[in-house]
Amino acid sequence: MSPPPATIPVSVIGGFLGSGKTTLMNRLLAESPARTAVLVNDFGEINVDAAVLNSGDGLTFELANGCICCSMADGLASAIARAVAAAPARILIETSGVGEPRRVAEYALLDPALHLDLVVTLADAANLPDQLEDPLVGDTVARQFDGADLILLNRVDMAGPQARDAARAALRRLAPGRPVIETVRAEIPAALLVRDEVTIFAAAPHGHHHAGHDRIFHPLTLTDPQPFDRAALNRALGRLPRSLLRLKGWVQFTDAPHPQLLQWVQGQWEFGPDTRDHGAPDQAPATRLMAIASTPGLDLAALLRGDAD
Amino acid sequence: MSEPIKVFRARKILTMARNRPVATHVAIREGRILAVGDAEDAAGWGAPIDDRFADKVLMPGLVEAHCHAMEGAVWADTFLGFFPRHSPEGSLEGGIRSIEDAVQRLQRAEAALTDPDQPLLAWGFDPIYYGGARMTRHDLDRVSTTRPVLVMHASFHIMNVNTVVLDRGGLFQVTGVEGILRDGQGDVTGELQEMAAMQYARQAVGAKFALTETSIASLRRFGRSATNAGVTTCTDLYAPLDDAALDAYVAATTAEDFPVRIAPAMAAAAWAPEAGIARMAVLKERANDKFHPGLVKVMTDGSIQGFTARLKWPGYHNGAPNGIWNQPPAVLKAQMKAYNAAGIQMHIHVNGDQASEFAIDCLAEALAEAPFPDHRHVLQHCQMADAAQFRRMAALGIAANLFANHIYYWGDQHAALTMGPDRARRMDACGTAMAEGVRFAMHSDAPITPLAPLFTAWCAVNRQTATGRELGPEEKISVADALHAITLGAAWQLRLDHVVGSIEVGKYADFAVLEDDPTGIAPQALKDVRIWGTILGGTPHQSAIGAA
Repeated sequence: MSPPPATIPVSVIGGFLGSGKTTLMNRLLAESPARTAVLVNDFGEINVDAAVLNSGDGLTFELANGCICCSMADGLASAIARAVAAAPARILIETSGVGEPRRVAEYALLDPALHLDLVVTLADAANLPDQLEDPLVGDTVARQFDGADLILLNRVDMAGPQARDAARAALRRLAPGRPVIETVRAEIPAALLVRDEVTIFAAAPHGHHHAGHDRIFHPLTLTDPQPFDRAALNRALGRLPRSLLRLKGWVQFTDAPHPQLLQWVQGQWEFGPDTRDHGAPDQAPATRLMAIASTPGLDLAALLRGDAD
Repeated sequence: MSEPIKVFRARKILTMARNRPVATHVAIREGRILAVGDAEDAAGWGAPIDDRFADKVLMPGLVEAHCHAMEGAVWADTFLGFFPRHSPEGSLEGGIRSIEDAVQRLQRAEAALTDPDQPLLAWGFDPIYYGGARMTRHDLDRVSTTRPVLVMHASFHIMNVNTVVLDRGGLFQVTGVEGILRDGQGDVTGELQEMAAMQYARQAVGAKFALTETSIASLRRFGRSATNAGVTTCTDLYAPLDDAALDAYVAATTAEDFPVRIAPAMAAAAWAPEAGIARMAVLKERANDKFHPGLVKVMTDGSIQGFTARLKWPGYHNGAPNGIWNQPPAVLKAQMKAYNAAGIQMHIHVNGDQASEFAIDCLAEALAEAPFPDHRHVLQHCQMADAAQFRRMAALGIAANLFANHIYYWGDQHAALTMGPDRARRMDACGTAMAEGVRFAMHSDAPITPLAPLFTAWCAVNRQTATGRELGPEEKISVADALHAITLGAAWQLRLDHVVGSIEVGKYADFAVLEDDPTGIAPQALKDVRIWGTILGGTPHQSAIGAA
């Protein structure tokens, strides 16, 4: 059931205290394309110094880069309402340190103006094993992985090999089958969390070289003048490996005159309007796709064309 | 030139003061108690005797140290409680014995509405008493098929709505949201659980439950409820106290005829600690003799009957998972340390025994780092604290405000579902608190349960559930101890025991005016004591409930 076009995509970012949520939010605020609305628990740790416009009640700020920052001090529902009123291109919500991201994500499922894109939960590699053992917070931390589409095992640089292995094992138990990406300072490309114009996506991910780390994000592209069979591509999209984190771009089908916009994330996908409705540059009918994977060496063409049955 | 002296004569005056526990006459000047005594004493006061209360019993004005000003706001909507309850205006509401009853009550309320688009809102609905029957949208469609109808449950965590609300919110099409219940055939029932679904439905039809507003009008209704219950001093134990609420408070309490003194507790979660501490100074500048800011409220866990309280091993009796923290424990600890170091008295919401233990641990650390003599920090509800926790509380000077009303209203459910028969016996353990030397009060948490300290005292004295079972008789306390708890005990917790809570020279002339003597009846009859009203600062205020 694909949502009607013109809904606002929402991503929810959760995780316990100290897992790196605020670091990630600040990064996204700095890197996201304009008209991104970011909902945070309090402005205390968010860089709103760059604010150019204050709503007057101190609950909404517009930043110089065109992003919008909303406080949830008066509740999630009204923060969402204020964000929607600003007609953002996308909304990112940071949950509280004890919040359940899946519960917060329900707001996006309820409101026809919104569309749930991705639920991301961060974990602190150095402290996750101890947190899960803590009688005060263990169950709270464990619940935060319920329904996460993507898990960032963050601060791996601060964790010893034992803690890191224990954290990996815990996540396999708590979130079986969900992709886990190991990060430092929550460094992920904004494009991963932002369903945006494809041009942004073409920019190479940055800053993922760390001493002793390989690149953790691998951009892929596919340009193909051969149109796709709709049914066959849908079958292929349902079988993409977990290591493929996001796929988007234009697909030329055999049964349509213009390429259609594809948005695929974590096994959920939809086809948007064709290029004419979308105001995309008038280009030759061809498929142009980009993806981000967490492992190297994926062959996008083989994955999408490999459906010979 | 001082005001003239006013002297009231009563059948009996229970002073709660050690040096003269019982009297018959009290002299008042400038709103304060000038003298207390008998007829012989009064002969020397040189003032005419006012006999209007000659057949009544006077007590210190009752003190409710855990309630919410929301009590004055909720009554704007229709009450659907299982137990009958008086509205501030004195009408008997609720007493809803079945879903059919609820529908009929709503139909009457609907007929009274003139604006065809106005949503019909109700609160206090508690199907736990209706033998497993559940309300559906089809029930509420019999109330209206054109107007949104929203029924909030007593827990405030579940709501029933009619088809209009589901249609306008597009909720028939939504999938993947746990909070939208469906029946065996997959039909959306109209029962919405948890905040996301409830808030969204409310927004979709522009329905605004009255319960969150702090206005002059809602505070005045709150004052009426207090008068009906014999209460002259209370709190609003989780007040946002933003500028608008503060202005409403100041305006309401400075009115000559406002009948209650309020010591609100600022919601800690609404401010970063530094900002909250700074805010407290601003609040105190606006204080007056009926408005006593200075307290702060910290929320740790949820509620036992909602399965959101934090419990120690072995957890919930029915195997439900452990509850929730409102904020990460580390954040709560930092909050408690900051307010303690600033010398601000805290009221800390703790329902489960893991939450009470955590709060005691935090306070032990906070007080070691920043000693705060006579701090009076209070654990609120504190329903499951065990004897060892009470001993630590006594050692640290931490008080308890116990939710005795729970014994009556949810005691049966606690024995059956949440705590099990054994732990339920020690819920709201006034007896243990006393034995271990913990200063305690007890409360209604109005509007969660009715504002009525004499009923609360009855609960602590008799420990009887709604079905008549006795829950933990070893935790009973005497009538005298219960009366102390709802006067001086609660006044001390609000840091107002130097001006209210007993009938002594120099204190405010605040009284509960009773038709019956609570010390002269059977302990089982304590809840039936009839209340004429109150006297505040020497001015009588009559209850709206006919003392028939």
